[in-house]
Amino acid sequence: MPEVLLEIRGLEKTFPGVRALKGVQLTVYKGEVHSLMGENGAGKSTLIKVLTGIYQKNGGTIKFDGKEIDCKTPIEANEIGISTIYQELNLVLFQTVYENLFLGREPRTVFGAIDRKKMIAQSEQILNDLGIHIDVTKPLSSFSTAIQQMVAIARAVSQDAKLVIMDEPTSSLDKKEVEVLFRIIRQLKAKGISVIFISHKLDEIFEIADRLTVFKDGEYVGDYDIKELDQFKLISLMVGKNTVKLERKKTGYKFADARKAVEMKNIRQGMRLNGISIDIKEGEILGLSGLLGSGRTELAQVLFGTRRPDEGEIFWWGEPANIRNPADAISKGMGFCTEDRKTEGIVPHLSVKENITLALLPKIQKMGFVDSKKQNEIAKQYIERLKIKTPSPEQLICNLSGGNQQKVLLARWMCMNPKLIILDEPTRGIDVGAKAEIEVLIQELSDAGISILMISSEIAELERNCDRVVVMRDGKAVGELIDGDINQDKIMELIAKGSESEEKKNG
Amino acid sequence: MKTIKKWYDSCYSKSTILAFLVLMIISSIVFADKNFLSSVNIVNILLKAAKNGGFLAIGMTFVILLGEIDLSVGSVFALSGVVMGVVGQKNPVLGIAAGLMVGVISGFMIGFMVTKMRISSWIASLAMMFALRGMVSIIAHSSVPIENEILRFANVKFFKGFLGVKSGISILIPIFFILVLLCMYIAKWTRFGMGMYAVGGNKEAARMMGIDVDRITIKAFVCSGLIASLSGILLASSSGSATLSAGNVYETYAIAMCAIGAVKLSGGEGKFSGTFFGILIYFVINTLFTYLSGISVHWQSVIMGVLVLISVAGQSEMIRGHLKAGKKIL
Amino acid sequence: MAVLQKYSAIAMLLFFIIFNSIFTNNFFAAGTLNNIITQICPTILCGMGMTLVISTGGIDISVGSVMALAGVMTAKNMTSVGIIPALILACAAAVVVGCINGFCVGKLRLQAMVITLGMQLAVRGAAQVLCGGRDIYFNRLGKVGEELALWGSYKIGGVVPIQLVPIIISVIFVWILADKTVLGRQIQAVGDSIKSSSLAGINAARTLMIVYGLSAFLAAFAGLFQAARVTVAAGSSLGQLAELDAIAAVVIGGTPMSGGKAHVFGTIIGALIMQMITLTCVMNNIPDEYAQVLKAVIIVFAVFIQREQAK
Repeated sequence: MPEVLLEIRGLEKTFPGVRALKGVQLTVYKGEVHSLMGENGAGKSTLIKVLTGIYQKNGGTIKFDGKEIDCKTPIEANEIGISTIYQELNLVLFQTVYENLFLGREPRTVFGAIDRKKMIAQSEQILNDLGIHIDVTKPLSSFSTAIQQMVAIARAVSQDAKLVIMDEPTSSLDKKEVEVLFRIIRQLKAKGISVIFISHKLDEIFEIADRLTVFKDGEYVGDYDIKELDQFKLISLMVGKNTVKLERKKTGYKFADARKAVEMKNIRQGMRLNGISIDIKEGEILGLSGLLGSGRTELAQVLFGTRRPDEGEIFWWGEPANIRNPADAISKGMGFCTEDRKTEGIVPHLSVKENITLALLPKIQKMGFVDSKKQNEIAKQYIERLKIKTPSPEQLICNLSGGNQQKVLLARWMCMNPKLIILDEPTRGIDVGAKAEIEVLIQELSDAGISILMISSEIAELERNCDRVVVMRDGKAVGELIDGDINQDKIMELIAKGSESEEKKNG
Repeated sequence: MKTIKKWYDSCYSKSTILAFLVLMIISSIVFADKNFLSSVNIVNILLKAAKNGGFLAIGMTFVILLGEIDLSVGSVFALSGVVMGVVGQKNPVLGIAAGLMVGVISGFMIGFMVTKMRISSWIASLAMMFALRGMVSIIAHSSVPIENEILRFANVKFFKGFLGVKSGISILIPIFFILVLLCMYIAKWTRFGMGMYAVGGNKEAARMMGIDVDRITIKAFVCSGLIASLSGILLASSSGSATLSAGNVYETYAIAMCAIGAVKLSGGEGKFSGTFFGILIYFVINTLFTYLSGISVHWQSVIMGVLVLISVAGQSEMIRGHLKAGKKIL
Repeated sequence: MAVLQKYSAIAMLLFFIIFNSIFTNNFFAAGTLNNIITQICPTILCGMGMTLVISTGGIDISVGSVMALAGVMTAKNMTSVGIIPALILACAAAVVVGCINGFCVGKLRLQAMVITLGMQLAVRGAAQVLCGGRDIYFNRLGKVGEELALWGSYKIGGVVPIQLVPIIISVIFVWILADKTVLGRQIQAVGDSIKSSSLAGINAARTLMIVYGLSAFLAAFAGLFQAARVTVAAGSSLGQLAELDAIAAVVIGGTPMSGGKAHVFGTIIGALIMQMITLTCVMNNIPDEYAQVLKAVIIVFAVFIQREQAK
């Protein structure tokens, strides 16, 4: 039995109103690559933040290297040997590679000046040990993200880290770079350093991880040896079979001959979209399924004009759509409820009323003035219709609960009489009651002939609401299910199969 | 030649140096009859730089590298001269020390407000600028004459007649050069210097790497203040009087010189050598205007403003990105 | 604490009024009020524009120079084309300057502080070039000069200084704009969350251009009235440091530097407080220098209090 490096038991973390970690546990052995798995909101990043001292725990114990620890700051965690390589790199891009390796602990000459020669020599040594050969005197910004990550890892190693945490390190790396990263992770393993590896790409997990722990909704699901699992089993563990009796709200697919509202052909964008084609029909609820990082959100962003595609064509009711920005998309009749309500949805210090009518205002103006009578009417109407719980329309939206904020955002688009509404994770972080209400609303919209593009990690939600589901993986559509065929198992199968078909192609 | 090219390539502030060289070449051709490249003229330009805000730009570079700003330097410049003059009437050495303390204290106070009270440096240094400008008039009601020999320490000139410069070279010029070299040393060879770039480049990362961000911020403001007061003292000392309006709106010029010197105004990138060339460009243009009798001297303010706009636009990631993409297409 | 934050500005203003009514002789004379109105005019005009600019999370430090440019342009052109056309020309130039600021900030995403700083230099220079480095004295401009001087000294009904007119118009205009119009709502939305606003179809770049343009437009009028009051258009000194007074008024008035809120009436209170400090000192024979120090302390205090509020 290998030695235990990190042992977390009964860890609790609550935020105002939310219990983010419900007594979870995690055990990491020395020299292993341990993966944390779970969809968004599972509690992985909260766990990491508690471990590294960004958040303070509310209960439970963390034992590291035989001692109980409770880090108050990331610096403290760093000192005892826990290094984190964040998605947004904690390095100074303008400075050189070797400066980044030694910042905060520069060697000095007898005269007190910092010893650049020594720093350069040692940096080369450290990086060479990891098999990286670069000019360390160049600024970090002149290297690719992959190299920058290697430098961050090198910094961790040179500080005698015992545990290196990598939060989605591969999200912006290409295939070759991922290989280099994996080579380095294996070297760390060989040195007896443990690695916590978080990624949403299952192929990578199966390639590099030794063991993994699955979380769901802030709870510990279990830990497994990678050899016990296959992709399908892992997906079902992560997504979790919904035990609530499922009732499909829709039956009878009647959109086969419906007009196409949107047609996207062969869209490519950066590393996230690799030639996907989909169409959305009039009045249809189209679900987009796939794990995080499969390009679902990016596809919606391309459609709404916040991201310019590198390649591909978009048609709007058969006409080529020239959408350069959200204003274009809105004027055509689209609405987009984004995944990140807080920063890309609500305008926090404006009232509920203002938030509802934000996009509508130019249409209800009288010579530039806000038609406040109409504005009040519309706000009142939607607050009632959507049962938005707010003391008054003048309440600041930042004081509302997540579910009510989401309803306000829905109202913002509904009052525009749209033809298409894009919903990205419409029920995330929303309590059960509001969830059901929002789902009913979605059905009503579709009945009224409005097309819906619904993106969700919760497969059960797609199963309940969608007429058709397109499954995405690695920026491509890997399958499509219609009406009665939509069920959790089939969707998960398609997600899992996506990788096999790719392997076959590559192999 | 090869070493020169290598040195040039390694310079961050390439465009500034290039602009400076072009400016020098053009002006030496166009104004050959005015002896533009004569030693007298060059010494004059350097003296102007050392007297009128060149120091302030060097000090400002410290805070701008951090991504902060110091609007108080002009006021510190005036106040330190006045304080030196007033205190120096009783004890000259104490006067000089008191003058220098003006910058140290004000720099520390701004740094404190920025780090501990979390007030933006624009507001903190703006308030300090108001307050110190007020203090100048509280302490003295008119220009303070500086007559004591010790206080006139900066009135030293040497190499009289050397290179045809009859009046000699003021000590201000070598002090200016020493200061620039010292700051370049600090930036490159001290922990403080490295920390400064780290904080300016990515404050959170710097904090995570165990760098004491607050301490470095306060230090940088103290440096800026200290250099500003040094400059104020030197000017008062060499000219023999401390005027109340000295350094008025110099903060704007100092920021402009930094911007022209390719110091990134959001912090983290830039060199003291860049600021140095920015200062030179500023004062060369300033000198050129004295030749152009037909054209209003005030055009130089317009040109400086446009130069600032151009250099800032050049720092924009978006424009840089577009230029790069454009190159690829071509 | 919350109460203190909300009413700190009003409390401060009340304090000065009470303090003066006890310790200052003749404080309640009509002359005092007239003085305040005539002197506060440029701060209020610039402050109104600045309130909008700061509510978008930006800043405009070119307003002082724009004042100079507008003053000089009007004085220079009015002898040949008349006051009103000269004024229109000056305003147009100011708006162009403001729109360039807005373009750089909104479209090119450059830092507002730095862009407007460069503009401050350039525009100040332009003003000085225009007046040829010499101040333009109105009494040497003949009849039009006298007419323009009236813009600074005329008293409505022989009592109320004319400066009250631009003050009231600008305040009402900006208040209506900020509170009642679609544009005003969009300005606040952009200042609060530029991402959310763009996703709701608001053209942030255009909104910012209008805001900076408006700020410059109001500054042009401030310059004109200020020049008329002192009966001289000086390219070098007109509007010098006016941007700082305006920023101070806005900040003391409770508009947070981080944007998202515009306290139009707060800015008036802020400007009044600044003016009160000056006045208190002048009327009690305290040198103006002390007023400056006091102003500095109050600015820091006001920002410090609002920083807590923002949290």
